Order: sequence, then C-alpha cells, then structure tokens
Amino acid sequence: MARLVRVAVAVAVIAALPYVFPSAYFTHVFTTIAYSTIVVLGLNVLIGFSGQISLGHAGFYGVGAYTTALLSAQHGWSLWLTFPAAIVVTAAAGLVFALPAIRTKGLYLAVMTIAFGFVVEILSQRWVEFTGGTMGVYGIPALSWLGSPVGAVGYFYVVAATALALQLLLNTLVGSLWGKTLTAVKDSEQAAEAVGIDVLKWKVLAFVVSAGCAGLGGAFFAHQNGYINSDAFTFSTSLFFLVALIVGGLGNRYGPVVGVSVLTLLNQLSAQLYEYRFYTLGVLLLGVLLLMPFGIAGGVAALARRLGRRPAPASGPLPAAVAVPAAAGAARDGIALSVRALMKHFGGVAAVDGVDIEVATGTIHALIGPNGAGKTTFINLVSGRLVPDLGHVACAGIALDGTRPFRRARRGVIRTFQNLQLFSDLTVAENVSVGAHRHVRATTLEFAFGLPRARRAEAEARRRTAALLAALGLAGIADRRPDEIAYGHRKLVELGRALAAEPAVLLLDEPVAGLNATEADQIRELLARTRARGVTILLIEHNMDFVMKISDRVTVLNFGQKIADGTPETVQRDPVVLEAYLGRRYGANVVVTRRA
Amino acid sequence: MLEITGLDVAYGPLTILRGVSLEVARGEIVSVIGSNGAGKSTLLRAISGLAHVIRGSIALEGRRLERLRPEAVAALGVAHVPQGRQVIPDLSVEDNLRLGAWRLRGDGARVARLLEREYARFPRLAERRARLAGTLSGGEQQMLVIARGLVMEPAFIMMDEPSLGLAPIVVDEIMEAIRRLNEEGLTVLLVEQAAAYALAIADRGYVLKNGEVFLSGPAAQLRDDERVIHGYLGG
Repeated sequence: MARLVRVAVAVAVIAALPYVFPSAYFTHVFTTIAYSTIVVLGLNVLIGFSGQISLGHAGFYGVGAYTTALLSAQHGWSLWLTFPAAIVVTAAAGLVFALPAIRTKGLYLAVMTIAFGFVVEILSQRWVEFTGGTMGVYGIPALSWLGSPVGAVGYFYVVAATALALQLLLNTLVGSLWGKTLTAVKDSEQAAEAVGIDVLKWKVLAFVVSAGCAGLGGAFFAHQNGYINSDAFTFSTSLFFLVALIVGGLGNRYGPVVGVSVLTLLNQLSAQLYEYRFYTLGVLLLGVLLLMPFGIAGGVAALARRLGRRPAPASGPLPAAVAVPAAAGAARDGIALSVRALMKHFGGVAAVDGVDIEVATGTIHALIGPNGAGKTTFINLVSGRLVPDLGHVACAGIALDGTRPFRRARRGVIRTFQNLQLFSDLTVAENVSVGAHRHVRATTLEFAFGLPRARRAEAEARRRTAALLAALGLAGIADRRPDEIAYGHRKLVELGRALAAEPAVLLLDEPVAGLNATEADQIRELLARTRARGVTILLIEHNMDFVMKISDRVTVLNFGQKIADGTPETVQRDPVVLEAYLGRRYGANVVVTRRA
Repeated sequence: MLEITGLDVAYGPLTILRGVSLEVARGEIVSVIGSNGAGKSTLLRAISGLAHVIRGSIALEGRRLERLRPEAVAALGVAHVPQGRQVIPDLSVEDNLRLGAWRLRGDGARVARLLEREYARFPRLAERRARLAGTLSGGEQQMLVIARGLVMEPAFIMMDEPSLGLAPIVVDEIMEAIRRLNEEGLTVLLVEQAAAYALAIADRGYVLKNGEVFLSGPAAQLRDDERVIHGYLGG
C-alpha cells in the first residue's frame, strides 16, 4: 500500500513537472536528470550493492549512445530495435570487460575501469570513419509515436517513465534474495563461496546489469539532441556519475535520483557564475559529505532510524523442539567424508602432515588438538579454500580434489568460520537466508519481476530462516546487523547460515567458543537433532565437556599429525593426549563443569 | 578501586546496559558472567570510553571516567584486553607489543625493559618475536594481546574472554597467569563465558542478565547458587 502511494506520488511529480516549469530549458534539464538517473541506478547496483568501483562508466554510456545513433541514423533501424540493441551491446561490452577484469579487486579494478573509459573515449574521438570523431554523428532521429514526433515534453515523459520503471525493478531486485546475495558477495567472498555462491559469476553479473543500464541511459541521451560526439563520453562524465551516486547515497535505493537531481540542478543554476561555480560546487559537495557521510538519501534514512528508537529485546532461552533441516541426499550409511594422506606445508612448516580421516554418515566427528595443530587448515583443505600439496578429499564417494569452494558447497559440504565471516551489511535473518543459496533456482529476471519461482524461493528461504532463528534463539535479534550483536550470537548466526544450506557434511570451526555452558548445551541438542536427520558433522572445538558429550568419534591432531583417534572415552584417557592437549588438571575441570 | 553506579549504556537506538552498579576493590579478581547479549563486553567498553554512557558514573580511585576518551582512560593505567584476539596481523609480535607501549615511544631503553619482562612471562612469545602476529596460533595470539595489555604496567586490567577458542591446557596456563598477576598486585576485572573457570579464580562475581545485574556476591557463593548452576554452568 505504502509502495502504491509512493509510486503514485512519483507519477504525479513527473506528470506535473513540465507544467510547473513550462520552458524548453527546464524540460531539457529534467530529461537529462531522468536518463542520468538510469545510468546511476545501474552504477549503484555495481558499487553500492556488489562493492566494485567503476570509474569508467561513461565508456558504457558511450557504447549505448553510439549503438543506437549509428544503427538509426546510418542504417535506418527503427528505434524499437535500436534501444534493445543498445542495451544488449552495452551489456555484452560489460561482460567482455568484466570477464578478465573481475579477477582484480578494489583499486586495481578501479584503474582497469578508468582504462576502459579512456579506450572508449579515444575510439570515439579517433576512429573517425566509424564514430565521426569530434564531428560526431548527425541526424539521429527523434522518438516518434504513430508517425509524429513525441516532442520534448513527450520525450521527457518517456525517459522519466523508463527511469521510474527501472527504479521499481531494481527496488524489487535489490530487496530480494538476489540483492542479498550480491551484498553477501560484497561483504565476504569467502563466506559467499562457502554457501555455494559462484562469486566470480555474481560479480560479472553486476557488471553486466550495470553496463546495460548505462547503455540505456546513453541511448536516451543520443536521441535527446539528435547529435552526439566524443566530448560527451570523457572521464569527467564518469566522475559525474560517481559523484552523483556518492552525494545521493551509495547503496541507498534512492541515492541515484537524489544525487543526479541535486548535482544537475546545481550545475545548471550555477552556470552563470562561470569559473566561480566550481568553487561553490566544491564547497557544497564537501559540506554534504561532511554532514552526511552516507549521502543525502543515506542521511535521511539514518535520521529516520534514529527517530524510531527501539528497546533491546530480551535474550530468552531457546525453544525446546524445532524442525531442523534434513540432509540433502545423504546416504544413511557409508562414509560421508573421506580424507586420505592430506598434506599442506606453509614455507617449510607442515601444517597438515599426512592425515587420514573417515567420517561415517550421520555421525559427529570431533577434531581436537593444541592451538596451531593444523585443525583449521584441515577444514580449509576439505572446504577447498586451500589447495593441498598432496592427498585426496571425497564426499560420499565423489572426489572433490581440485574443485573450488562454491562447487564443494553445492555438493553439500558446508562450513563455518572460526574468525567469523558474517555479511556485515545484512541483518541476522538475511545472513541466514543467504545460506540457502544452493537451493535457489530462480534467475535474475525472475527476481526483478517477482515471478512465481523467485517468490517461492523467497518464501522458502524465509520459512527456513524463521525456523532456524527460533532454534538458535536469535528470533529476537533477527533484524539487527552483526556488529550490533554479542560475539556468541554472531557465532550462532554463522551456524544458522550453514544449517540453512541443508548440508550433507557440516564442517564447524569452534561452534560453541564464546558460549557459556548452558548455551553450549542448547547447541549440543540442536546438533544432535541435526545428526539424527542424517547430517554428518566434523567439528573443531576446545570445549571438552561439549566434545566428549556429543562426539561419536574423536581425532587428536598435534603438529599436523594424528596422535590419537577413537571414541571420546578412550581419547580422554590417552596419556599422550593428556600431555599434549588436555593438561594434567583436565580431570579437575571436568568435575567443575559437571558438578551440577 | 573501580566504582560504577547506575550505569546506562546504548549503541545508537539500542539500550544495552540499564542501571548497572559494580565495584572492584584493589587487589581483587572480579568476574562478570552472563549469557550472550547480556552486556558484558559493553560494560568493559564503557569503562574504556569506547561505548556511549547515557547515565550513571564510572570512577577509578575517585576519578570520573565516563566522559573521558579511550586514550585518556588508558593513560590512567587501565588496560583493556578486547575479545577475539585483536592482534595486528601484518606486524611482528615485537611490534604488536611495542604498540602497547606507544605512550613511551621516546624512551627506547624503558620499552625494551618492559618488553623483556613480558617475554619472560610468556616465553612462547619470545621464541616468536620476529614472526608476524597473523601467523601465530590462537593461543599465542591470546597471549600476545594479554602481554600487550600488560606492557604499560597497568594498575587495573580488564580482560574480555581470554579463554575464547583456546585448548584446555592453554586455558589453564592463561588462568594461572591471571592468578599470578593478581598475586603481584594487579587488580583484574574478568569477563568470561567459561563461567566455571571465571568463578574458580575470582574473589567475587557478578551475573549480568539482559543488561542488568542479576546476581552478585563472593565467587564461592555464586558457584553454589542454583540459578548460576542452571543458567551458566550447564546444570
């Protein structure tokens, strides 16, 4: 309902603008704002939601403009064809650029995008026989409807309506599981891969979507004036898009339209100040960013949050019985995880030195040993994050050697991280729901239009998340972000995200560190129920009370080698283990923790 | 030594602590236990000047701390060993320790003396002084952050879950080290999830629940309290 009201207001504003400001000049300015917003909306998907910086978006904008200009002015194509062509060609350019470039990150990627922008700028300037160079392309036909031109105001309506439609589409997209997945990739590539997200594919996808939007914006620009030349696609155009996004609010849905409007209007209103306008613009930008570091739209959103002050909900006990997800396709008997002669050296030091472990399906196997014994390295090797020097890893008889982490995750090998890898821009509930990624089949377009398969995936993830949050006692803090909750709760969010993937083999790196004995008992019950449903669990933990109570089998590592292996009873009496790990006072500690 | 009265603390819109009063006498070990989200870490952060105090007072030897900046609190001899082994991974062990002695950066000889004392206390760190802190095992990193807290010879140290993720034998070592430090005269405020350990070495204890003090008293008495056994010791 609120959404309908917002759309109605937007439509009313768009409809009224040409009447409130009835001059050709203002219509031109508003049209410019509308297509620039289209470009920056796409840039926001890329920078704001996928975390990749582009300083060469004018390149994509130019590709879109030239595509429609050349096809319509020189080849006589209908605009019904040239607009889709502009989007497709630009998206393809985004794909071709991103496939190699995406392997670089951060500043390096930013520099690659600058280079791309310059390549397009130079081609448009120097490849005169194709682009017309600085003379440009003339006679680009104006948009017409039923044989007559739509006129400047008509054209504004078309561009603004397109921008509005795109805004709504992207709102749906970034608000959906699709958007959460993209944010997850931005926040922690490691954790994203660990739940089966193909990180490279998603980053390329963000580039393609973003480039497509820039191409559409560029096409509208070309048909506004009927003339384009290389001057329009320079580095300063790329900067304009970027600055508009930052001033408006990076990662805020309404950042693009706010930023573009403010910046364009300022540019126009200060035009009569000639050189001085750069000073005034600079001061204004500095002021905005000092007062509102998250941009204008971001500042307004923060203010709204501040006004809605919530009390801290009580952290109650866990509910007794909750449905725990079943293992996906795990055989009830046999060996779920088999590791043979696994070896990994770090500069001469053997972190894992020829370890064999077999974990029977539906059992809990604990890996214990002193700090630095190679336990976490072992999990990194099994999950695919590290490549072993030697040895083999197989899940349910299928060799995993040489496969990337996200492929192992899709096979059902799901891990948690000792040094927590939560998605910091997502809420607790969203963190958990992204865990279900490997079961989502809907495509980008299905998410953008909210089609049934996407809606079902969304509902399924919500249902699963709600059950898990209840089971983990996190329901009261479902809407908080990881940095707003206690350490032990973050630990539980990691566990919840892994369980949401419905693992066949669950690798837990210190699941109860940071929990007190009572909380650890509750997790023990949850894991026991998970095991009862056929999930195989390999866990690292230093809480011996927990390990000895829950494990079917215990392996002890020291200096990368197996020093003991057996049932909890035999291992905790093993003199070698007592000496290396448990300590002579271990017996006394057990008495303390079990006194009640 | 430390006296907290009626403390309210909030992060943005979230109120974390409500009306917390707590005392630590000179030479004591005081443990704070409680569930996750009860506000234990926030309490330490408030004392350090890292969390926003809305109401109430924090006094160290009669001197008010609640409006001071973190570096001013540290200058008064308060050391805070934060949760989660926050070493600086790309610096060596030695450089991490030197950072702990930042305020003495002009006095090379004195810093060297202080470092040697910590190496004597934690021989494992001495063996690894040139290694990058990020390559240490979890237990060694925990020793490093404790040593970094001790470098400045604080009169009062706050430790946030020093046992986190450590092997039982190392937890014993750390607890033993805390007890020894206390015997040397250091006053300790310890936040722990491992309530059995925390109450075993403490003189007195506090139980936080939903941001309020739920129970307090001599550690031995808390260890036998039904509510503590059932709620925190795993009864």
